[in-house]
Amino acid sequence: MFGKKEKTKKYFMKVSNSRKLYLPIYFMILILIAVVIFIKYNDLNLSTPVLILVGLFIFSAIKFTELHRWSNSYEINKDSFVHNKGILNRKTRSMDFLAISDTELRQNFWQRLLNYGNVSVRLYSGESDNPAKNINNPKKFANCLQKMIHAKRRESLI
Amino acid sequence: MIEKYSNEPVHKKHKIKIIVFGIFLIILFVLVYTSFYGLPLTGNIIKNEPNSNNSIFISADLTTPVLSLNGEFENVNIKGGSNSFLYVGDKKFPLSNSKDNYIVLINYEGEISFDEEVISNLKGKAMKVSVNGVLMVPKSEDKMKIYFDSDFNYNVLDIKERVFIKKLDYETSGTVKLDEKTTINLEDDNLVIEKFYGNIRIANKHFKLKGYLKNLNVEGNQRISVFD
Repeated sequence: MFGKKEKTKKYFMKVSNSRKLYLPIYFMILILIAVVIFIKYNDLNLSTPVLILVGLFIFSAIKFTELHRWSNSYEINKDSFVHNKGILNRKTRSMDFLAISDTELRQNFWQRLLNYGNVSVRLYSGESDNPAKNINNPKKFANCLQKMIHAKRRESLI
Repeated sequence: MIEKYSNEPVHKKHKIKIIVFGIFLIILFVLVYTSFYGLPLTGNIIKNEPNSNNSIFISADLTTPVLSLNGEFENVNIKGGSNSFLYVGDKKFPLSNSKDNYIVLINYEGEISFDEEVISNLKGKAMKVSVNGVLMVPKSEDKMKIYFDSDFNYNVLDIKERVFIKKLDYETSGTVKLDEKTTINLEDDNLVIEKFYGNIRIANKHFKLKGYLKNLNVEGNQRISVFD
């Protein structure tokens, strides 16, 4: 099913949080940059300590959002659905396809508009999970997950 | 029993969002406030500059150096004339009609660079500007932008109050009076003045200093070192 690529690529699909989730933070950064440009353009006082403060906020905000993105990744591999969490302390939860009963796609109005959302799974054990949060194109991810689950079930029946 | 495998408590996420938004609002407020009213620390910095309490009083009449100043000056008077234009706000004043144009800048903030002959750079903002008796005040509370389009030949340049020269190092001739007691006569000697604070006046190519300084060094025919 995976051909040659399977040897080098261990997962079938891998996603992390969408950057659209951080739009409010990006908007704050844009406002600060716009205010700085306005102050500079109108020859108002722009003191160095305040400029450093703005720079620090922008740097920290970008760093934080990127770290938050890296800290969560969701992958569909040949046999299971895996959620990796954390950067230094890593927590990996793997859910076998045969243990998953069904998937659920959740998007609010804003998420539908920007095409990102959550994919949750329910296990036969009765456990409900919402592992893939705020991912880009969640429909594609859910479809892929469904396909893999069906393929695995057919394989196990044979 | 249905178990929930959750990442983080929802209230913790809200708390982080509120903190980030709070920090953003504080920074935005500081940015806007300081742009109009300046940084409150500025007052302390000026207070730390040399003043009459901890410095040597100097009164000097020397040859004019090449000097560049940047700061806030209460009063700047300029007399002279050349084929340049003076821009004040959105107005343009020709200065070629007279050889004795008289320009007064009140509460000027910006740069002034000059040598013996010309003011090579004057760029900043002023609260009031008078050009040959025509007074201009800003429409709003903002200061007016002011600059020369090219070099301005001057006869008199008088900068009063708050002139701060961190270091002036040049070869000069003239007289230096310290604390109204000691007089030093210079003849092509190298003069180093550090942390001068006071008034300067250049008239008829004479550079006159009146104020306080931290250190003074003379090297050449004579070697003199004076420090506070």
